[in-house]
Amino acid sequence: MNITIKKYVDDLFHGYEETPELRDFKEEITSNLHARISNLEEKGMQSNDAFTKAVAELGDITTIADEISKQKRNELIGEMYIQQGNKVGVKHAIGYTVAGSVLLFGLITSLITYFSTNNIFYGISALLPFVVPTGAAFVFLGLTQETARNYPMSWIRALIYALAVGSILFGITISTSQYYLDGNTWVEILGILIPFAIPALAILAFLLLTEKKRYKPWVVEEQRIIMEDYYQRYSDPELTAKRGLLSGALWVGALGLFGLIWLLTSVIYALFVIILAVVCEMLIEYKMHKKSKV
Amino acid sequence: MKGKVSADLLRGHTDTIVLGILMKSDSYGYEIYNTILEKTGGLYQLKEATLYSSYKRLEKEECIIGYWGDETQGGRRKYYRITDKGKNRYRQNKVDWEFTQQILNQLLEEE
Repeated sequence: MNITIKKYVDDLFHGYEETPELRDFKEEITSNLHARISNLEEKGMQSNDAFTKAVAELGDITTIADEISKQKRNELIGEMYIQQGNKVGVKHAIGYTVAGSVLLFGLITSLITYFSTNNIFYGISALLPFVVPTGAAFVFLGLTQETARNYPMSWIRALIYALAVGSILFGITISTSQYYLDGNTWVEILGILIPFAIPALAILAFLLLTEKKRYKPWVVEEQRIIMEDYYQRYSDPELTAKRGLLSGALWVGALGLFGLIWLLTSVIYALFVIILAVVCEMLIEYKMHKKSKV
Repeated sequence: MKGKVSADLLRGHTDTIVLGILMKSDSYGYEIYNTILEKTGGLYQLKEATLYSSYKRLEKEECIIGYWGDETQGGRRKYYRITDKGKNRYRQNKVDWEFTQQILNQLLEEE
C-alpha cells in the first residue's frame, strides 16, 4: 500500500521540476494520505476502497504544485544575476574537509610506506583503505551539493552512486596492487577487476539513464533562450545546408592536410592546421551570424 | 426548515480555522483535517487541497512554521506550529468575525 501511495503522488506531480520544496510537499501529502488510509482501514474499510476515498477527497492538488513551481521559478530568475556563487552548507563543508584530510593523510602514509619499503605494492595497499571511502564520499557530497545551476540530488540516489563509484575504486586499487605484488598477468588482473567494476558500471549506467534534470529554473530559462536564438538564426534551411557543407569541406580538407604534413614533416607542424581550421570554423560562424541578422 | 453548511462561507475562513486548531497544540495535516471533520460532526467535508494551500499561505505570511516529526513508520509527518504573529492574526480574525456576525444578524433580522 505504501508503494501505491508513493507512486500515486509521484504520478500526480509527474513533469514538475523536482525542487526541494516540491519533494517536501510530496512527502507531506504521502504521509497524510497514509495516515488517512490506515484510519479508514481500522474502521473496517477495504484497503482499495480506503485508497479511492482518500484520493478522491484530496482535491486538486496540482494548483498548489504550480504555485510552488512558478514562485520558485520567478524567485530564481530574479536572483539569476545576483546569486551565482555556490552555497556550501555546514554539513557539506565539514564533509569535504574531513574527506580531503583523510585522503591527504592516506597519500602521505602511502608515500612513507613506499619510500621505507621501496615496494610499490605496499604503497598502494596503504592507500587503498583511504582512497575508496574518500572517493565515494566526494561523489556523495558533490551530488547532494546545491550549486548555482543545479538542485541537490536526493541522498538515497547519491548514496547508490557513491557506493558504485566506491566499488569501482576498490576494484581498481586492489587489482593494481595485485599487478605489482607478484607480477600477475593482465588476464588475472582483469579477473579481479571485473566482479567489482561490471555490476557497479551497470548500476551507474542505469542511474545515468534514469537521471532527472536537476537544473534550476534560471538555467532552464537560459537554455530556452539560447535554443530559441539558435533556431531563429538557422531557420532558413538553405543557409543551414550551406553552412554544413562549408564546415564539412573545411574539416575534411584540414584532416587531409594534417595527415600530409605529419607524414612529410612532423606532428608539431601538422597541429597548426587544426588550429587554422578552428579559426576558419569561427569565421564561418561569424559570417552566418551576420547574414542572418540582415 | 433544516439548515445546511455553506461550504463557500466556511472556505473563506479556512486560515482562521486552521490557526484556531493550532492555538491548542501543534498538529499535522491529517489530524487537522480530522479535527475539523469531528468538530462539524462530519458536515463540513472540505478537500485536503484547500488545507494544503492554506498551510502554504500561512507559512508564507509567517503565521505558522512547518517542521518534520521523527516518525519512522509510514513516513515522517509535517507538523505545524503557530507563531506569535499567527496568534495575533487568529484573535483579530475572531473579533472581526464576531463583529461581522453581529452586523449580518442585524441585516437578516426581519423576514
